[in-house]
Amino acid sequence: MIREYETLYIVSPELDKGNIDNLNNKMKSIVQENGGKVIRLTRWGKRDLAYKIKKYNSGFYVHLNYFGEGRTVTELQRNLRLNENILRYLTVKLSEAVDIGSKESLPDTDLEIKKPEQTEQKEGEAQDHKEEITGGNE
Amino acid sequence: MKRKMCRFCSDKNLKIDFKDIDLLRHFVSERGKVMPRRISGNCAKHQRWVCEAIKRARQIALLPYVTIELQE
Repeated sequence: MIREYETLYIVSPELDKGNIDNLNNKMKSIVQENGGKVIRLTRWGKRDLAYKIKKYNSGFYVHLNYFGEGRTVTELQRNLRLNENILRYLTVKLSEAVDIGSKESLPDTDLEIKKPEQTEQKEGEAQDHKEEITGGNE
Repeated sequence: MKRKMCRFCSDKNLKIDFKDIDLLRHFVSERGKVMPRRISGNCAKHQRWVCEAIKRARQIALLPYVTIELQE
């Protein structure tokens, strides 16, 4: 069963742009090779962390929105975990049982750090609510 | 005193998302703790979702777990 997921990960601030792009492309190909479909990769750029992780005060945030199965997520998370340059990652299920053709793949984008609302609107289109908690009807 | 309406019930377009830290900052204290419902005015359902979102934001270092106040 195909579901929609989003994964946000933090890349070490010591990497340069080329390395980060390579890493992002690798993560995208992992999704594609494991029965998934990348919807959009969004680079949030370098931002300060709320607390230190591995003695770093900042990191590059990358947001990946994709369709996939359980094994897609497992494999992606395994790779994120093994990579030393990934400081932290978080995967959230956005919706249950989606049609894989219901969303087109979009080109990679950069997000202005000042406006997190942009993500909000873009993400908010198709999902009713991302929480695992169902029973959302009043 | 008039009871404050839940922000998310009165504005259906307002989505609770762990990535939207500008919104979530309204629901944490200066020390980074979750605001209680009696202050935030959220209904039980939305308070639960907000709390969940704050916890996720903390995991990915968008929001702090604790804020140590600097002595000046």
